[in-house]
Amino acid sequence: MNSWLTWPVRMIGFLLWYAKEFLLANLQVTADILRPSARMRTDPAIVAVPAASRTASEYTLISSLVTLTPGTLTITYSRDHAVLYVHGMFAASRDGLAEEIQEMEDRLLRAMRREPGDLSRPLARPTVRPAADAAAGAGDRADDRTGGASAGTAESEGTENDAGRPAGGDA
Amino acid sequence: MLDLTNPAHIVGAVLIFLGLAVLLISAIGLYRLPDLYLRASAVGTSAGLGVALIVVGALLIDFTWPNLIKAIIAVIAQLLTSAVGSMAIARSGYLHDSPPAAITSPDELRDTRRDDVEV
Repeated sequence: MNSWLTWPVRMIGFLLWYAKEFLLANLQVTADILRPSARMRTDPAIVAVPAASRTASEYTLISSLVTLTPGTLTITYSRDHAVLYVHGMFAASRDGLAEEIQEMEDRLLRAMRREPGDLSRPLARPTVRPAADAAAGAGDRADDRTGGASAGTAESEGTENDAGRPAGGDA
Repeated sequence: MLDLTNPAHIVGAVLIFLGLAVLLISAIGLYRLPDLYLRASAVGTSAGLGVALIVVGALLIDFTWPNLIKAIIAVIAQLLTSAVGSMAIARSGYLHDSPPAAITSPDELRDTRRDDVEV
């Protein structure tokens, strides 16, 4: 009951925090674009960030917000493995970028959910195997959605992520 | 009409020029950044901010309540579509083997591919 009452306050708090992050990220990116090439600090990376989101709407919101922040971009995600694949422009360290994304997700989920629930998840990159291989116990390569796509309905729950990538992962 | 004795109009004009500057810097970024993903992440959404600033500036210069509602819808739609558009572009680029710039390290998405295609 109480959490219903505080919901608007929590959402406004989150939006203010996000607006601050958005403006800071804009300034950082702007400054880097205008810097002479030799001193550009661009150091991109694509990082698999373990996610605490569960529902499709939570994944949609967190990936949109990450993308909306200049300098970070969600390329794809896997609900089955609870991973967001985030491209970061200033990823001096892999863990630094992953922490930033997880902090944003923490704040979003605390604002959004009635009960935040268990938000703990590892920082390190998860070992991801194709569903078919994992079932057969014979996957020597870490693999993600190529498994879901080629194995057809092996990961039928992940319709959002698998249906949208027909042959791409195998290309 | 623009009336420079009206503070709201001055702020509006400043916001419009700020928005123009953001758009100009985004255009420079398109030339200067090395790959698709950096351009999509840096420029796509900065351009969203640029358009949003111009819309808010125009609202301040010509303020009516219906315009306020239109401006709020326009800003939300602009930010939402620029985010979703950037994601769609980046994702389709990755699926079609557009390689990230060589300085992209680590690339933990690349490791999820089953094949060993050299890109």
